[in-house]
Amino acid sequence: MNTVDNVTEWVNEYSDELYAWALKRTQNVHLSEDLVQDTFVAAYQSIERYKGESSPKTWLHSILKHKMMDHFRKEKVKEKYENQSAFFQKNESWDKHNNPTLWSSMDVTLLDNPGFNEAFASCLEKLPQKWKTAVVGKYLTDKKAGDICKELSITTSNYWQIVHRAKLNLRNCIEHNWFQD
Amino acid sequence: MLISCKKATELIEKKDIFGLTKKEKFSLDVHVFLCAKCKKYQRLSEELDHTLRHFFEAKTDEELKLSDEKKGEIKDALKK
Repeated sequence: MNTVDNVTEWVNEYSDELYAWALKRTQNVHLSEDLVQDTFVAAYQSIERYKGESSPKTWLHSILKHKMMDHFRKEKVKEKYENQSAFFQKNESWDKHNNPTLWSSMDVTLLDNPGFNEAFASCLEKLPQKWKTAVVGKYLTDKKAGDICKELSITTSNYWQIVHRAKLNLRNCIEHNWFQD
Repeated sequence: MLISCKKATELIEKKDIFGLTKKEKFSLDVHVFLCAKCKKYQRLSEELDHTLRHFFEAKTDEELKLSDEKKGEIKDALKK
């Protein structure tokens, strides 16, 4: 059996599915493409370890999962994101420049606005990748919080703190780039 | 057992993801009752959730497919 042909066939058959899985979690086209490519290369290199006990799809999926975990384990989050002093004063009450204001016009119509969508996407883009994936995890209904933590190599308390910080940063970015124009 | 605004907003997020202990829930309820800013933040946080959910769900089937170009690149990488 020719292994290149074999794995090439798997690319035809499973790459869309693997890519969709990665893209949903990372919301990052390039990273998802890289992870999928790394997955197939790794599968090809370790093909002799594949005994056919699980389906190729399951096997490829587990490789992809590990590739993603590796990626997040290595990712360093910039200090400016870890630091919340921009939002709160020393005594942990709201900083006066960052008092919460409601986006009173916020509804689905605002999301239908291409300009808002673009601003929102670019603000999301600025977040550390790990944070983005943590935030996405909250809204993917098929996932349990514990699984997300495992995939991101973080603790459960880390998880909601990350989502919290991500939302503070997002809000700040959107208010600066959209509402204050 | 008053908590800070920072702590309160953290609990707002924790509540949503994991739920709160009785003590945490009480602390948060009292804080939000007394603090107009955090009460506002709680609503804002819901608005953000709403926006994020719609934003993430808006992917079309076509966007979720790997491009043929990339598939070709992967196949080439296997031959190296």
